[in-house]
Order: sequence, then structure tokens, then C-alpha cells
Amino acid sequence: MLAVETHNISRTFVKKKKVKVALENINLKIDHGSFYGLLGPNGAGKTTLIKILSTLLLPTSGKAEVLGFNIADETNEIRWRMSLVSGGEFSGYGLLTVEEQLWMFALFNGMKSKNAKNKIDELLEIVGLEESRKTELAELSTGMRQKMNLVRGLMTDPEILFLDEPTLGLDVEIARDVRDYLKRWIKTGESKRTVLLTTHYMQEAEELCEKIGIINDGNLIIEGSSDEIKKGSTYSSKYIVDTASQYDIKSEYESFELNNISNNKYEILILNKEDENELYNSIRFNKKITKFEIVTPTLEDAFMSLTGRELN
Amino acid sequence: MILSHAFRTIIARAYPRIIASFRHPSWFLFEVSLPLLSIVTFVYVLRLFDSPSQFESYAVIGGCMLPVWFNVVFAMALQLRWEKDSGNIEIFMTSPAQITWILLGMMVGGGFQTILMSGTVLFIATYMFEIKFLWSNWHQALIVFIPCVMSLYSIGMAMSSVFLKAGRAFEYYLGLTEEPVQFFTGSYFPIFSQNIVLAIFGSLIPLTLGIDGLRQVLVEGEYFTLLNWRYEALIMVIYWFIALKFAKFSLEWMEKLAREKGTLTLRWQ
Repeated sequence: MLAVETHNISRTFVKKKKVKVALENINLKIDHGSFYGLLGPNGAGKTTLIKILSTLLLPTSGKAEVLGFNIADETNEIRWRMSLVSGGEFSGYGLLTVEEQLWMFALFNGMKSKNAKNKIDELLEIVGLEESRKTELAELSTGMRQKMNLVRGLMTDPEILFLDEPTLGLDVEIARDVRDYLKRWIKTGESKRTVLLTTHYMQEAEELCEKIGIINDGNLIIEGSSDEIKKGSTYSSKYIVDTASQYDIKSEYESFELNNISNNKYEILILNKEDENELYNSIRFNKKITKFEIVTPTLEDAFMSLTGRELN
Repeated sequence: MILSHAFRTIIARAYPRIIASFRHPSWFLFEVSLPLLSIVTFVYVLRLFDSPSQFESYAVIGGCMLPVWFNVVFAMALQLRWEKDSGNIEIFMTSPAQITWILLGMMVGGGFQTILMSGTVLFIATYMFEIKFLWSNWHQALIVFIPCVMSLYSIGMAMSSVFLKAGRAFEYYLGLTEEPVQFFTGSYFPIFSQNIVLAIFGSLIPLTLGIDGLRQVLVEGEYFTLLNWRYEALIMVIYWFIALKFAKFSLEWMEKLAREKGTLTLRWQ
């Protein structure tokens, strides 16, 4: 069964009489029990798509189903089974403590007070927030607040979790904690939990997601596993080389695409896999090349090849 | 199932308001001292002109009820706008709880705060000026007070979606209504004995009827009014139902608009 299925979803906004196309004919299929990542730069349409799927927005055209329910008219069925957590979220009431805040939102989601309190105890311990349970929201740091938001999203043990840039603005350590917990959460779900993550951090998408979709200017350009997407890069691998000074590398390697990175540092792109051996031998025995390393394409490279722009 | 969910949602949303009354009591000082200051001013003016003593009682009742109105307008109607700006609306909307239940929770919590505040003002003012109310009529006073507060909060609920659409400019216009509301409701003087046309016009605000009804049942002595407090209570119940109906309609309209145009979920809207 599919957790998410969209058919030609499009969304336009009208602002000051100007029409902005946020999404254009998006067709998406996300398997139940999978971790799916939507990768794209700011303004690509990721948040709009997640808002449509989480029943906050209607598409201008097309249709979508979440957990088999139509997003247009079966919203409550979906809302009972989903959670949405956004990065940089400052929701809640500053005078409430962390546990009061979580209790309040849990009750909105239909949980009984006692069950909510038990779940709060369990989750706060897991994410390392138990010492802050009595802290008022206004006193929390951004990282702690985001951890609390994540706990809020997990309180009802949703069948589908929508995460919109969940690690936005977090320091490296906390972002890693959040990612680690999400990995554990989906693993322990016995294929009953699905996550749709939007991010513009490639590393995050690569680390967490089994399948990634790249979205740009409202269009889903490509989707597949991280390795499959990397194949979309214009080169199969590249050499980063340091050369001796006054060495004219350009004339020696004129048949290859060569870019100057910094003083005496170049990258040589291998566009055809057949050239790999020839280039390797040439570089290895070239005494004017003082240092070299082979780099395989990253998601960022694939993204640049596909869209002609940088991700961040 | 639905009823218990609604009940839990109302309790959960009322909680921040109730807890706020005790956790940060500084607001209380502010909310009590300002209305009290107005009452003190009016009572001294009345004494200066040797007005009948029941006029002081009228001023105290009006002074205690006026903050109820402002609490409804500012804390209830503008609250939803604040919820939008802080991102809470998104969480409300993605939960299976109905937005009406959440607003009812605000109403219960806000009502608690208001009663606490008005009660304190009433207690202090009564003690300060040695005012004698007919406390034996407390049940009649409740028959007037409850529909008055409920109709005001229902108006607040109805206004909340309108304000959400209208934007921040409304906050400014609301500020401008302060003096006219004081005047038309006859907060510090018995408006029905002054000008009938003004009084009828003022009765469009349930607060006018509430103040008038409370004066009838709690203040000793002769009192000129157009309507008996029982009819006033009945009219306020009607206001309450009309406002609730309108609130439900406007909230559904707001939700529909929010999903179609993104008016609640996009910060630039």
C-alpha cells in the first residue's frame, strides 16, 4: 500500500495580482514504511507540497491521497494518523512548561491525559529533555525547542510523519541527535511508520532517506535512491590535484574538462568512464602533480547538473 | 468519542489561560488597578456633586463589567491572529480537533481570568467605598451575568475569524472603540434614564443589557429602565446563540479560505 500518492498536483498563489506557480504537475508515490526525502533549494516548493499533503492547503489542480484518504475531503481521517513538525517552529505558549505544552497538544490530538503523560515521560527521556521538562518554553534554546517539537510530532505515534526542515538552525550535535532518533523511530515501527522529510541539507537526505526526490521551481526533476540520483551527474568522478608552481596543466590535459579551484589546485572531471584508467596512470606518474585525490559525485553535484544551480 | 475529544480539547486550551492567572500574576495587578482607578475617579466625581448613593453602585458595576468587554475583544478576538503569527494555527489545523473546540477552550480559560479579575475589582471597590449591594439577589445576578459573558465571548469568537482576515489594522480600530463603548454601554451612569435612543443603540452591545440588568437586581432604590432584567437576560441568550451561529459559520469560512488560499499557513498572507 502506498502512504502517499499524488496525481498531477499543481499549486499557484496570487500575490498582489501576480500569479506564482509553486508546484507543477507533481506525481509522487511513497511506499508505506519508507523514509522519503524531498530535496531542493529554498522556494523550490517543498513546503507547499508538505502543506498540501498534511491537509493545510488544497492543490489548485490534481489530487492526492495520504494513507489511502483523499486530502480534499477526508482531512480528519488523515489528521488522526499524521503529524507535522516544521523546523524553526516557535509554536506554543511561552509560559507553559515543556511537559504542559506537550500535554496540551496531545489532548488536541485526542489522547487521554494519563496516556499523554506516560508518553511524555518516555519521549522526553529518549531525546534527552527530561531535565528540562519543568522549564517554561520562553526559556528554551532553539535546539531544545526543536527537540520538543519533534516529541510533539511523535506523541501520537503517527502512521505518517511530515518533517519540514526539522534540523533547520540546529547546531551539528543536536541535528545529529534528531537524525539518530528518527532513524531509530522508523526502524522500530515494523514498516507501519512513514516519514516524508523536506530538507535542503543533502547530507541529511542521503543519511536518512531510502528514496529522494529533487524538486526545483515547483517541478519534481528526478527521484530514486541517492546512488541512482548521483548517476545523473554530468561526470562519473573527478580528480582534485595540487600542482607544482608554473606548471601548465591546462595544455597537458586539454582533452579533459579542467577547472581552477585555487592557486595551483585544479579539478579534472572524467566525463566518460573509459577515460578513467588513462587519466589515473597519467596523474599517478606525473611528477609535477604533488598531490591528488579521486572524488565521486555528490548529491549536490547531481543537483547542479540537473538544475544548473547550487542547492544552498 | 467526539464529545470526550471536544471536552479534552476545551480543557487543554483553557489550561494556559488559567495557569497564566497564577504563574505570572503581574498581569493581574495591571488588569485590576486600571479599572479600579476609573471607578475611583467616577465615585469621587459623583460624591463631589452629591449624587444619590446608588449612582456609586452603578459606577462600580459598570467599572467591573467594562474590562470583561475589553478582555473579550482583545484577548479573544485578537488571540487567533496571535496564534497564526506564532504558528499555532498550523498545529491546531493539523490536529483532528475542531477549531471551534479550541476557541471554546479559549473562552473557558478567558472567562475564568475575567471573572477572577472583575470579582477582585468588585471586591476592592465595594470595600473601599462601603457600597451595599443586594447580595441576597445573587442568583438573579448570575442569570444576568452568565448570558452576558457568554454572549460577549461568542461575539469574540465570531470576531476572531473576521480579525484574522482583516489583519493588524483592526487592532488600531479596536483601540479607538474604547471611549465610545464606555459611553454607549453607560458603564459609569444609568444610560436608560438619560437618552432612550442612545440606550437602544447601545443595547446592540450585550454589555449594555448586562450592566443594566445587574444594576436592577443588585442596587437598592428606584431605577429607571426600559426593560426588566428577565427580558434583558433573554435577549442576551438570543445574542449568544446568534453570535455562536455566526462564529461557527465564520470559522468554517476561515478554514475553507485557509486551505484554498493559504491565508493561515503562509506567513506573508
